Amino acid sequence: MNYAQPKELCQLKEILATWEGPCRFVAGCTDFLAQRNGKPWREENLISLTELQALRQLRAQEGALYIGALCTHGQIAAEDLIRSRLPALAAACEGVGSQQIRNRGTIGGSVANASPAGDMYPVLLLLDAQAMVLDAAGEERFLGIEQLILDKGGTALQNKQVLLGFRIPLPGPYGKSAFGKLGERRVVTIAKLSLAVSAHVQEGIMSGARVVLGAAAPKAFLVEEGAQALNGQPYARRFSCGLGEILSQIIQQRISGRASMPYKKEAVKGLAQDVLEKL
Amino acid sequence: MKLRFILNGQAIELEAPPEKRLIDLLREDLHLTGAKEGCGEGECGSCTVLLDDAAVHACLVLAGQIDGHSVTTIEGLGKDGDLDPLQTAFIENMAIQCGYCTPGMIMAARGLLLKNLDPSEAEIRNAISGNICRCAGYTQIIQAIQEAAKAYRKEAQL
Repeated sequence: MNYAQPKELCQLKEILATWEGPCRFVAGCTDFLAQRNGKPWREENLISLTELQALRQLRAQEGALYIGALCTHGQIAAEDLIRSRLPALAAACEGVGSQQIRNRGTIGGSVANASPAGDMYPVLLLLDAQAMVLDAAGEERFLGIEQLILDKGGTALQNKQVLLGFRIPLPGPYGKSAFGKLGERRVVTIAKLSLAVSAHVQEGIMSGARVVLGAAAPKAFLVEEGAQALNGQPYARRFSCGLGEILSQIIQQRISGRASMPYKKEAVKGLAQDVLEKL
Repeated sequence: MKLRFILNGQAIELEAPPEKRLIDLLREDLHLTGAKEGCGEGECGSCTVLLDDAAVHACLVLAGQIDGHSVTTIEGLGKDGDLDPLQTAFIENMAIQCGYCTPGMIMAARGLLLKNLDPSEAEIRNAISGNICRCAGYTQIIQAIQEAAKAYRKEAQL
């Protein structure tokens, strides 16, 4: 097995250009090793990205926030700018696993693993993020987050394509966002259902709302009907917009055959209340 | 792969496969058996150690990834033969029953106290929420961590 731990992006690019065969990238390994627990495993080419300091950075520039793929959940949750301007992202990161997982698990790893129950993709979709991807030829490009995750699950990343980070447009001063999830426990839990909501609130009226349901289908999705229910409504009356009912109907339509549907269609009503409370 | 890292304050060098898990490197190669393997998938916290002063699961770290970094295990907590305030507080508060979770619990608490010497009960609960004690002695564990925090604060004032 070949193993590499590049420190600079140029070293990573050289590896991508010269190594043959499938390359497996790892970062915090909180999913990678957990999935291999007790099982024999082998990779032809294993590349740990953890030493790429450039991907640990988080910076605001020209109205957007750039988050390196190696930023940990704990690092993101503690960042003042994110807590104040992107509270949905801070809340989602704060709710990931245990302290040990948040110290080690990365936003890039979470998205690249594309678990239907992951907490990062729903919020990145809510915030209209773009993914920065490096390809085998050493070219960097931006890809809409919705194109990165495939409808049936998994990512659109090809062999030797690496997720470098995310660009998130920073909302203006009137932007609000919130995230909530339901799991078997209150903490250290994997989402059975998650909900992210954002809206601009100016002069007490909501506009530009976005609503994302996660862990309900193989891929988190935007709920246009939910956004429409909030747009134009007074923020003070957000609980009366029928969002919970709308989401309940969407769940009944989208996962009608699933055993979890009867639970989720009811649970989402309470989750909607919780998330609107935090908005 | 040649690994060079700081283990419990001492610089060490050893040869190990990079894909080996840190828990196996510690227990099998370095004979540091304080960190325990429970679930092997980051659920129970019994393998918790500090990596660059942050609590992590030793079962979810590749040996290669510690090259150039600092690892602290329960064996590295006490100084000059004396127990660390956390270890003393766990004993005095009877925060140990079977003891299997204890090294991980203490290292998770150490990770918290390195950042926050005066944590609230909620912050303590949050810091150890990934550490399972099946003897269910959480009340004593929380008391022990609170008491250790006091001892650390006192130490810091001296």
